[in-house]
Amino acid sequence: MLQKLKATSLLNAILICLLISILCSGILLASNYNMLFQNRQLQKDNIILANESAINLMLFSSEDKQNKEIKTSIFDDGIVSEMRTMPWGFYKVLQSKSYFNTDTIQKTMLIGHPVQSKTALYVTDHDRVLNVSGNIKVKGDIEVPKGVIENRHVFGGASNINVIGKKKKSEKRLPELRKNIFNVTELETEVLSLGELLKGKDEYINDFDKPTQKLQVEGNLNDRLHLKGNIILEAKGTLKIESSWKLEDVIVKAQKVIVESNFSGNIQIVAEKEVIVEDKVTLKYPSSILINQPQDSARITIGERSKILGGIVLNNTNYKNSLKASVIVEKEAQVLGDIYCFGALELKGSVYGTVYADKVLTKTKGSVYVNLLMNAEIDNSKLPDNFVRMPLFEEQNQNQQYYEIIKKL
Amino acid sequence: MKLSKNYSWLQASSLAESVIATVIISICIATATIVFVNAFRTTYSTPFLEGTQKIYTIIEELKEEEAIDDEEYDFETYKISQKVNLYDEAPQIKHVQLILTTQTRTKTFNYLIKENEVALQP
Repeated sequence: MLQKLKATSLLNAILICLLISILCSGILLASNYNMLFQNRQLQKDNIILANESAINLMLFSSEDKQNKEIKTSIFDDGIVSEMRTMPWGFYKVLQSKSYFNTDTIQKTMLIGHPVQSKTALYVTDHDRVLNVSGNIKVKGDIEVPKGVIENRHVFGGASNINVIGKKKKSEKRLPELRKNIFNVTELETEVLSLGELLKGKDEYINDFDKPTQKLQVEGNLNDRLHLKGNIILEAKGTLKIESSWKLEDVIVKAQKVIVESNFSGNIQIVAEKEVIVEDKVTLKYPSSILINQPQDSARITIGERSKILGGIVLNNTNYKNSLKASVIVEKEAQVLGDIYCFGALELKGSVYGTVYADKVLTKTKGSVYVNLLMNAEIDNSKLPDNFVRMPLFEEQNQNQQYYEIIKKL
Repeated sequence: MKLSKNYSWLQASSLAESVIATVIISICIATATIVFVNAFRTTYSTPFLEGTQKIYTIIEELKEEEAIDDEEYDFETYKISQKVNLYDEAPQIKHVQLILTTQTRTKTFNYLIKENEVALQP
C-alpha cells in the first residue's frame, strides 16, 4: 500500500494557497462588513443629529412656518428632514422625520409655549373685597378687588394667613382667553365606532403620524379598555371613564364626563355641561379639563385627594352664564397648573400654579360665603421650572414665540 | 539510517517542482499580507471612532451650557474644532460645527442648538 505514495510539493503548495485564499476572503468579507456597519452607524448618528436639529428649528420657528409642512435638507448634506405640527387640544404635536437613502429617524412629541407667570391669584373686581379665613397660604403676586385682602373669622377660630407676594388691583373682568384655545385638526379626522373597531380586543393604539380617529362610544365598553395616541373618544351624552381603563394622550369629549375613583391616565377632557372627577383620581401631566362657552349651567368638580397635572378651564361668554358656572376643588385635591374659572370657584384643596377666578366662594354647612377663600393653598413657586402651562392668553412676549417639549409621544 | 532506509520507496520532488511550490506559497503569503494590511487600513481608525463618540458627548454637554462659543479641543490622537454661528432662519438658534481631525481623516458634524441663556430670558 505504501508503494503507491508519491512526492507532492506542488500539490501541497496549491493546498496551502487555497487555505490562504479562504482566509484572505474571510478577512476581506469581515473588513467589508465592518466598514459597511461603521458607515451605517455613522450615517445613522448623523441622521439623529439632523433630526434633533430639525426639531430645534421647529421649536423656534415663527407660528406661520410651524403651521406648514416643511421639507428641507438643513445642512445640505443629503439628509432630508420633514417637519410638521398639528394642534392637539391645548397643546401641539410636532413630528419630525429625517432620512437618507433607506435609513429613517422619526420623532413625535407634544409641545407647548413656556408661559411664565408670577401671578398666584387673580379675582375679578366686583366691588367687593376678597376675604380669607382659616389656613390660607398664597405664594406669588395677587390681583384682587381693590388690591386688598381682609381677614375674616368665620367660625371664630384662629386663622393662619400666609400671603407672600405683591398685591395689585384687579380689573372688572377676567383676562380674555386666546382664540381657539382648544384645537384639533378636523380635516383629517376619521369617525369610527369604538365597539366595531375593537371587535373584542382591549387595546387600540393610533400613532400621531396617522390621521386622527374620532371613536364614538355606544353601549358598554370593556373593563380593560386601553386607548393610546391620536384618538378622540367621543360620547353624545354622559361618558364614564372607568378606573380600570388605560387612556394615554387621548382627548375625551362628551356632554358630561365622569372620571371614576382611582383612575390614572393622561387625558384632555372637553365637556359641554359637567365634569366630575371622583376621589383619588390622577390625571397625569399634561392633562386638562375644559368647558368652553356652555349654553347654560356648567360645573367642574375635583374630588378629594385627586391630582390634576395640567390645568382646568371653565370659560363663559357672558356674565349671566357665569353665575351658573362653578369649579369645585375638594379637600386635599391638588391642581398642578392653572385654573381659569369664569364662574364661581370653591377652593378647598391646593393649586400649584395660577388661579384666575371671576368669583371665589366658600360653602359651609348651611351657609354660602361669597368672596371668601378658606383653608386653601395657592403656590405659584412650587411649579417645576420645566412645567409647560396651558397657553391661556394671546402671546405677549418673546418667550411665547418658541415652544418647549412637554413629552415624547 | 535504518529508519530512512525504510522510506526508500518515497520519491523526492524534482528541483523544478520545489521551486514552483515555493514561488506559489510566497506569492500567496505576499497577497495575504497585502489584503490583511489593507483590510485594517480601510476601516475607521480608533482615534476617529473615539473622536466621533467625543463629539456626541460634547453635543450633550452643549445642551446644558448657558453660552456656546468657538472652542478647540486637543486630544492625544485627534483634534476637535468647535465653530459657532447664528442660524439665519431662527436667531435664537446657533449652528454648531464640530470638525474632527485625525491623522488620516477630517469630518464635519453639524447641529442646531438653542442656548439656555436665551430660553431663560423673561
